[in-house]
This record gives sequence, C-alpha cells and structure tokens, in this order.
Amino acid sequence: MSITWYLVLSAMLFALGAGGVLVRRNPLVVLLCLELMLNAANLALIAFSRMHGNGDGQIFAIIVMVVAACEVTVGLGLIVAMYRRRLPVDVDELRELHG
Amino acid sequence: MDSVKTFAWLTLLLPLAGTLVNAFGFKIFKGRAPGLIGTLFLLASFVSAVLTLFALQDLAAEERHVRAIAWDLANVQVGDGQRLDAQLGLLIDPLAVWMMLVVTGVSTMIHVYATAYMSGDRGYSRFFAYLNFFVFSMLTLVMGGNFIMLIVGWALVGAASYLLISFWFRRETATRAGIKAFVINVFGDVGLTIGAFFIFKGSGSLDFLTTFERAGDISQGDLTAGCILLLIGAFAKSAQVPLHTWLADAMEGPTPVSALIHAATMVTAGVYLIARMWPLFEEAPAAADVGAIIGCATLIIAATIALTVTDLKRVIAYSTMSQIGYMIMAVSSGAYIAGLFHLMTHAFFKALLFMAAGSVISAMASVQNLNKMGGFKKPMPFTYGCMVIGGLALAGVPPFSGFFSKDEILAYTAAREDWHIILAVIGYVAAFLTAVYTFRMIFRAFWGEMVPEARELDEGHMHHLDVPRNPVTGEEEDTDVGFPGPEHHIAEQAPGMKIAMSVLALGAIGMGLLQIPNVTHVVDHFLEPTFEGSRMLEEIHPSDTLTYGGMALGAFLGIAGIFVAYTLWVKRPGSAARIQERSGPLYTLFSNKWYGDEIIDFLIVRPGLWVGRFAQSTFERFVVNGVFVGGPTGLVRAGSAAVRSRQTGFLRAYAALMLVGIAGALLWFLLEAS
Amino acid sequence: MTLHLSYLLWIPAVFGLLAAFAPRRTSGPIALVGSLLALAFAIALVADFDRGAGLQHVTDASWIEQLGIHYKLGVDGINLFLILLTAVGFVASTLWSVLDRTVAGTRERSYYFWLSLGHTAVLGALMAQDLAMFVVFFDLMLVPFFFLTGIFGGENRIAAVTKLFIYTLVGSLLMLAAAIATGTMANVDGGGTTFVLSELQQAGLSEGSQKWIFLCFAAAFLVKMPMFPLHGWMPDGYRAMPLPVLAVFSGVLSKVAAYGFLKIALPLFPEGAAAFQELLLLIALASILYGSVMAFTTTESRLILGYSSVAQLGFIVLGIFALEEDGAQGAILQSVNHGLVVLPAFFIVGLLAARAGSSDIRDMGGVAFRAPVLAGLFLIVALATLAMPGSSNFIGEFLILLGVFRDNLVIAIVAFSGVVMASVYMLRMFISSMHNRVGRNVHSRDISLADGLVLVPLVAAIIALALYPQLPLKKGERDINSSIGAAAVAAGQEEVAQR
Repeated sequence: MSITWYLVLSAMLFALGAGGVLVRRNPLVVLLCLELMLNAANLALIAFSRMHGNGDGQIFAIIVMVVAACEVTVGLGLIVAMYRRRLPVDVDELRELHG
Repeated sequence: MDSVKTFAWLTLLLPLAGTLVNAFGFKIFKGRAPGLIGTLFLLASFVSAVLTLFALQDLAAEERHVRAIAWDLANVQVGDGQRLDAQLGLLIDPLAVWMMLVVTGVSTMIHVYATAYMSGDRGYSRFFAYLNFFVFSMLTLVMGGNFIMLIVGWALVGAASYLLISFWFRRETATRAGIKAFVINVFGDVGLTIGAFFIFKGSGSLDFLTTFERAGDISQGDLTAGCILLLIGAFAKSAQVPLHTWLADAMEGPTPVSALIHAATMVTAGVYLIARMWPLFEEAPAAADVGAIIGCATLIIAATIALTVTDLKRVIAYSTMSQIGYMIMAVSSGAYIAGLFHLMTHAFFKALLFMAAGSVISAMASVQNLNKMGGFKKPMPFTYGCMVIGGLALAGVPPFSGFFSKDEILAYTAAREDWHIILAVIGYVAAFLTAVYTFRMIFRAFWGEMVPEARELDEGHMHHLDVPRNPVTGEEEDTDVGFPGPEHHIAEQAPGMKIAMSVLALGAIGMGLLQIPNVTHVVDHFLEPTFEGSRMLEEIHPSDTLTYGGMALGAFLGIAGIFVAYTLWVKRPGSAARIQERSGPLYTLFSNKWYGDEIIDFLIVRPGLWVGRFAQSTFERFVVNGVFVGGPTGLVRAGSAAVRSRQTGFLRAYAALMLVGIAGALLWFLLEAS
Repeated sequence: MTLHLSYLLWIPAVFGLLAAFAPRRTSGPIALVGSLLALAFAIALVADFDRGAGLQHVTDASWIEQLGIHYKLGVDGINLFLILLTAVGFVASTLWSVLDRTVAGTRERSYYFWLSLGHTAVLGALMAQDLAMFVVFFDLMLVPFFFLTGIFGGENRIAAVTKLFIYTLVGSLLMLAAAIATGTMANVDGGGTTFVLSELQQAGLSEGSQKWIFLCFAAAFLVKMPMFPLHGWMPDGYRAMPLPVLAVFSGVLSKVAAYGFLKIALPLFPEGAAAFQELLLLIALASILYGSVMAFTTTESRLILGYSSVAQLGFIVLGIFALEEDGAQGAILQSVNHGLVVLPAFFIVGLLAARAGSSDIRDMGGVAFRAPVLAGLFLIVALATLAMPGSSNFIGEFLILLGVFRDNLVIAIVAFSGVVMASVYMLRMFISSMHNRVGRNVHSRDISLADGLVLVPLVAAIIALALYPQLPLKKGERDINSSIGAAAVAAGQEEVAQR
C-alpha cells in the first residue's frame, strides 16, 4: 500500500486541527484541535517509519505523545484555573499581553 | 654635607608637623595652645634654617649647592631614551638658605603677632594650622631642587593662600576673593608647567643644576618661550600686571595673613623664581627684558593706584605690588643680589606696616576705610611709631633699610646704560610717589581730628561693634559664627603683638646696614656662590658717581614726597580734593585701578560664562539630547512601535501568523528544492 | 608564587550568590567579605608583581575549541593597578551600602547580588586575555548596573536606565561585531581562528579592515567613558543611580574603557589607531573643554562630578592617543587617580545631600563650620580632583600633557585650559557647599565614625599615592610602553628600528 494515503489522511487531520485552532474560541476545543494536529504528525511519522523500516519515527512519535501529555496537563490546569477565577473561557477575551 | 641635608629637611618638615599637630588636635588644644604650638614649630624651623646656614657656610664656596633627594616621584621613560627625573628632592644653596631665613624668620614674627591678634577667634586652631601649612608650602617652593618640586610648592602656596584669604569663610566677599586668588594662581601654575615642558624638551632633565648646565643646549626659541612662560607664573604669584587683580581683594583675609602672604612670602616667589632661573634668563635676554618691562610697568601703575585707594590695607597691598615690581625689574635686569636684598628688607618693613595697620583696624572695630580714620597718634603711640618706621623704610629715607636696597636696584638698572635707563627713571618717579602715598596714609590715619573710635580709645576702652558687619559691604555677618572674633586686640594692649612689631621695626631700621655701597658686602658675599659665572653680575657695576648720585636723589625724592604729603593732607587739608577734581580722567583711571578687573571680566570671565550657559541651555538640549540621544532612541522607538502593532493579544491571530509563516517557509524550501 | 586569578575573578560572584540566598540582614556583610577577600587578593597581586616579566599569573584553558576561544586570565603592568582600584572601589561601595541601609532598602539580597556580580564582571573585563572573553565581560558589566539603577535608583530611573541601556548596547553590539570580525579575519599561522589577544597581536589585520574595526571598538569605549558627544546618557544616569553604585560606575567602570583602548585597540589595530589619532585627540580635547564648561555652569553636585569626569577622561584619552610613552603612562596613572578621587567625592556628595536635603549646590552652604573634619577631607579630595601639584593626579596630568606637548603643542596648550577650569568648578563646588552663608535647610553635623570608615581610608590612599606615584609608574612602565609601540610606529612617531 502506497504511503500516499497515509500522508493524505495525516494532512487532512492536520488541516482539520489547524482550522479548529483558528476558528474556535473555547480554549478546551483549541486544546483538542492541537491534539489532533499532533496526532496527525504522529501518523505521518509512523508511516515514514514503516516505509524506511527503522524505528526512528516511532521513537519520535512516542516523544510527541509524552510532550502532548505534558501539554494537556498544563493546558487543562490553566483552563481549570480560569474557571476557578471566574474568568471568561474565551481566547479572544484573554488578551492581557497585547502590546 | 649631611648636616646641611638634615637641617634642611627639618626646616621644611617642622612647619608641616605643626600643621598636622594643630589639625589632628583641634579638639584637644584649647585656648591659646594652638597658637603656641604653631609658633614653636615655626621657631624651631627658623632655628633649623639658621643651622642650615652655618652648615652650608662650613662648605667651600664652590660646594655650596647640596642636593637632598628623598625618593623618585616619577622616573619613567619619555621616548627617545629620555627619562623623566622627577624627584622629591631639595636644592640647598645660598639662595635657598637666604629665602629660608627670610621666610621662616619673618613668619615666626607674624605667628607671634597672630597669637595675640587672633585670640578670641573661633577658628584659632584652624588659623594656625593654615599658617604653618602656608610656611611649609613656601619652603617647598624655595627649597625644591627641580621643576616638579617648584611647581608643587608654587601650587601649594596658592592653595594655602586661598585657605587663608577666605579664612572667614562665611563672608561671601572673602570666598570670592579666595577663589579669584586661587584661579589666577592656577593660571600661573599652568604657565610655569608649560614653561617647564619647553625647558625639559631641550635639557632632558627637570633637575635645576642639570638643566642649568645644559642651558646652552636648549634651542633659543624653546628657551625664550619657556622663560616667558615661567614669567607668567612669576607674574601671577607676584601680582604683576596684568595678573595683579587678586592681590588687593586678598586683603579680605585677617591682617596677619596679609602680612604673611602679601609682604614677606608668597608674592616674593616670582622674584625668587627669576633669580633661581638666572642661567636660563641670561641665555634668553628677550624674556629677561619682558620681565624688566612688566616689573617697571607694575611698579608705576601700582604706585598711582595706591595714591587714590581709601582702604588702609589696600594702600599697603598696592605698595607691595609696586615694591615687588622693583624686585622683578631688578632680577630681570641682572641685579639679582640687589633684588634679593630688597626682598629681604621689604619683608621686614612691609610686615611691620601690615601689623601696624592691623592694630589700627582693630581699634576701628574692623573698619578699614581711611576716610573714617584720624587722630590715632595720641591713643596709639606704639603703633604710630611702628607705622612711621615702616613708612620711612618704604619711602626710602636714609638710613632705613629700604633706602639702601631700593637705591641699589635703581643704580644697577641705570648702570645697564641702554634703554634700562628709562626703567630707572620711572623707578625714581615711583619712589617719589611711594613716599607721597605712604605718608598720605599715615597722616590721614594718625593725624588730624580724633574720630570717635580714637577718642574712645584715648579714654581707656576700645570700640567694639554690637553687630559684626562686613567691612567692605556693610552687610551684617552671619550670626552664630563668632568670627571675626568679637574682641579686638591692639598692639598697645597685647604684648605678643608688641614683641613682634618691635623685632620687625629693628629689622626695618637696621637691615640695610648689611650692604652699604663700598662699606659692607655681607649680602654680596653670601649670595655670590649661587650666581657664580653670571655674566650680568660680572659686567655691570654701577660707578661711584651713579651710586652716590642715585642715593642722594633717592633720599631727596623720599623726603620731598613726605613733604608733599604733609602739605596736601596736613597743612592744607582741602587741596587734595582740588587736585582730584582738576585731574578728572586720570584720577578716575587710578581710582578704578586702571580697570584691571573690568578688563579680565570682559575678556575672560564673561565669554567663559556665556559659553557655559550656551552649552547648558542650547547645545545640551538640542544637539546632544536631540541628535545624539534623540537619534538612536527615536529609531528604537519607531521600530518598536511597528512591531508592537502586531502584538494584538489575540491568540488566534498569533496562531494564524505562525501557520502562514511556516507554510511560507515550507513553500520556499519546496520551490528551492525543485 | 602563582596566584590563581580564577579565584579573584569568581570570589565576588560566589559571595554575591551566597548573599542572594542568605537571610536579608546578613547579605550585606557577606558581600562585604567577598569584596574584602578580592581586595586582599589584589594587594597580594601588586606585591608579587614582577615588573620585568610581562604577562604573569596566567590561567589558560581552551573554552570553545572550535572557535579558538580561550579562558585566559593574566596580569600585566597595564591592568595591575586597575584591578587594585576595582577591588578598592567595590569594597568602598559595598561598605558604604552596608552602613547606609537606605540604599538597598528591603531588597538587600538582590542589591548585593547585583553589586557583587558587577565586581566580577569588571575584574573579568580587566583580566581577560582573550578578545571574546573581554567582550563577554565588558557587556556583562552592563547587566548588574541596569538592575541596580532600575530597582534602586532615584527619580526618573526608568528613563535614565533605558537611555543608558540603549547607548551602551549600541556600543557593545558594534564591539561584538568588530570582535567577531577580528577573530575571523586574522591571519593566524597554520590557519584556524583564535581570539587570544597575544596571538591576534601577532596575526595582524589588513589596514583597511583595521580602520573600521578600530572605529567600532572606539565607539563602544567612548560611550562607556563617556566622551563628548556620546555622553547623552550621562546626566540622566548620574542623577538616577544610587550613590554607592554611581561611585563605582564613575570611578571604576569608565576606566575599563580607557584600559580597553590601551590593551585592545592600540595593540591589535595599530594602523587603525594611527589613522584616527587626530580624531580621537580632538574628541578628547572637546570632552575636556565641554566637560569643564558644563561643570562650572551646572548646579547639581552629582553632575558637576559627572561632567568633571568627562573632562578628566578626556585627559586620559588625550594621553593614550598622544601615542607617546609618557602620555600612556600618565593615562594609566590618571585612571587610578581619578577612580580614587571620584569614589570619596561621590560619598561626600551623599553626605552633603543628607545635610542640605538636596544635592543642588544652591541649597548648600556653610557646612564647614560644624563639620571641620568633613570639610578637611572634602578639601583634600577637591584639590586632588583639580590635579593640584603635589597630588598624584598632577603627576598623571603632567605626564599626559608632556606626551601631548611633544606630539602636538597646540592641543597641549588648549588642554591646559581644562586644568584652569577644573580649579574653578571644583572650588565653586567646595565653596558653595562648605563655605559662604548657611543654606536655609542645612543641618550641619560632622561625619560619623561609620562615614569615616569609608572616607578616611580612601583619602589616605590619595595621600599615599601623592607621596609615591612612582609605584604604579614603575610597575607599569614596561608593558604600557610596549602596548603603544606598534601604534606609535604606525603613526610615524617612532623609528621602527628602535623597537
């Protein structure tokens, strides 16, 4: 089976994720979309790993998962903290850092 | 040799020790102790100077120049194999010893006077610390064995004089006079330093004796430039035209200071300098001529100003200027010994005059205006006597000391037989004026109607002010200050002042006997080793006719001057005012001191301040802050503004930008690869 | 005996780190101990210095091998006394801050940490024998002072610190670029790159590149000093800095720039230096005149000292770029002297401001009467600052001006006017603070024992140096002469055969 299909699927997933990050305003959904993008990348990595027949890509994928787990923890923690402080859970409202 | 060195160092360091003792012990020593300490240290220094004299006289005549070197100050290579040889070293020869004796001797008397005069002043111990420091500085100047030591002494004297002039530092007139004296003196220091550079360039050494040996190797241009620059230093310190304006203002200091600085020591430094540098000046006759002409100009200008000044101390100050003019003229014309002789006699009678003036000023409760004085002859006989002795010596009446020394100068100058004769003639004219203004001062202060202060004194008690006032401006003094002390002391009541003045009066009478033409030659013999090999001294000898004729003329002019003064201010008291009216512009010129202050103000002070204000207000704001500060900060600000507008704070906008950026980068790589 | 310079370099930083984590009250004394140890070390260095041996106590290790950057420290006649001055300056500053608790306020830990780090940075810049290392430490110097001013400064500190930062950063970036260019363009024997100063000196650059590289270095140094017309940051910076910090900044940091000229710019880029000799001389002359004129018109006592520093550093640059032995030696001596007089001078300004409630000299006056000791000490410092003959500053200026005099008569004579003006502005400051009538809000009192602890040793050092200036001259003579040698040859002032 050609690698093309894997890559097409991966690209579609990535585009879906990126689009979600760009259009959604709820940080929870943004986080989910980011997760989607990471997994799209994972898919591509494993596909390549399979094609080349070595384990490098899989190692990368595992590292990505670890990072993703960390990121989700931090992200969810932030979102929970926002709820606790009764801040609006909307990324457009949170623009304290504007110049 | 060794004993000369030991005693010389002792002479130098004892006054410094006195300063340190008084400075560190200002909380310990109370009452009159500081004065006693200062005086004793100085007396010891004088004794040690005398011992130096004996030790030096023990040496053979050609060995009477001893270098005493402590350590190197700066000994480094200065290119082309030349080394700078700046050492902390002294040169002891008859000239140095002569100056040491005059400085320590007269200063000791002034210290004795000051212990009484200044008692009651809140700054008593500070005063003696300064006074000792001043003597130390002056000794450094005259004993230093190289240019560095000379400059150091030169500048320390300037600093010490600044401290003493603005001793009553809460008076703004005093601090202003102090800074003026200091700055003009620094100007002189700079002249001296550049002069030393020129000479060092040619001789490759800063040491005096080495430099003198190599005087012939220095190119004529360098030597003349160097000597003229040295003269600037001498003019600044000796208050010669046009750097004389500080001297009269310096009368703001307490009277003993006037006596010390402006009679015996500081102002004579210029005379010493030219005498010390004689081998250089003989090789650079143009520079010597400049010195002679300026000295002559000063002596006549100062004499004319002294005729019109109404401040008692300033009359004496201008007479100092005039007398220093004689000395500068003498040493620049080759009459070294005559100049130094006059330096010594002048130190005696001028210190005496200042002391007597101080006594009168005390009796007047700090008023110095001659117009307000009169009739002090009866209540203050001792002061009067001293003033007359000093006045006769100053006026050059035989057989007082000033007569012999001044006439020796004029005879020598006339004996040059070229245009120097003009200088001698001017000198005689000024001698006549000297007698007039000296006795104008004496007659106005001591003769005539008794003023209330004099009458009070005559009745047995002294006049004291309720509120201390600045004698110049009449402004009330800062209260809670306590000085100038509420008490005043006059010679009649203070034994210390009496002793000092008596000793000086004896000197003013008798010192001239050391060197009577064709009779005694003490000064000549003593100083000769220093001037060994001088062309001027060998070639120029006034003939007997010149000597005796000059003496007769001098005596006549002195007595005539006194007579004129008597006529104008005693016999016909109104006539002076009439002359004053008739000689309109000339009087204005004299009484405004030839506009010296105004000229300096116009030429130097105002442009300087104007440049400063321009720099402060305009240049700094527009050029430095505008171009050099505004430029970079403006650039940074504009750049940051551009970047800042992209920082919206919208997370999604950032994400979009990032995606576009990454996509762009990928696209570029793709296109590159294909 | 070999003294490991790494100890000297890192002792202050280590103690600074300790101070940062120690209890608040003890952080000051800890930093003080660190600076005292460094001082002891520096004194040992001076005592042990062999004037004939060139670079000594060398520590040399490869740092970044690929780029030929070494961790190399050393002491020679040029930096020896500047190291001592640095140690003295930081001891005085730290002691002062410990005694005057208002300086650091409640944030003592960060204050002493930054101060100690500054100490290490200055020592590093002075001892570095590797160009890259020099640049690193030279730039590192800025960081602690940025924070010290920004956190502990007075009014307008943010604006001042921004100005300071931008100015010095521009200079530093130019210098960084120039340093990289030097390292890569030097033709080292056997290829490769090196940043070690001694090797770079051998390698030599083409004349064209020397010129622009020299200018970049000169810009960085001139900003740091500061020299006219790059002194724009100085008035604001001097107004805002806390006084103990300002004292070391003015007394010590500016000297690193002068040192940079002698140690880096002249030996590495002799032809560049020779080409721009006239320019630098004119800048120095302008600084002398401009600084002096400004100093006698401004009434803010910190700025009087600030502008007088501009003028004094003008003399130092003048001495260096006379490209004569005496000028360069005078410049190093004068660097030490100026540092020694500026430290107590700022301290005195602080004491005066405490008595008058303002640092404007118009609000002062009449302090001397109740404070004779303070007046006496100030007088000595003021006279030394105006290079009174008899002080070591005079010997320094004498040598500088003698060097310039032999090189260019006119410049020397114009420069002398700076000497006269110095007497005006220093005395003006002395008189209007100490003498005249008592100012309206002046509460005069004499110095306390604690103040004396800082002031008296500094004044004693001034007097000691005045009595024996030959000590630094003697130790530095050989190395300083050789550092200007190449540039003097390039400027055509010395015969090549003599070298």
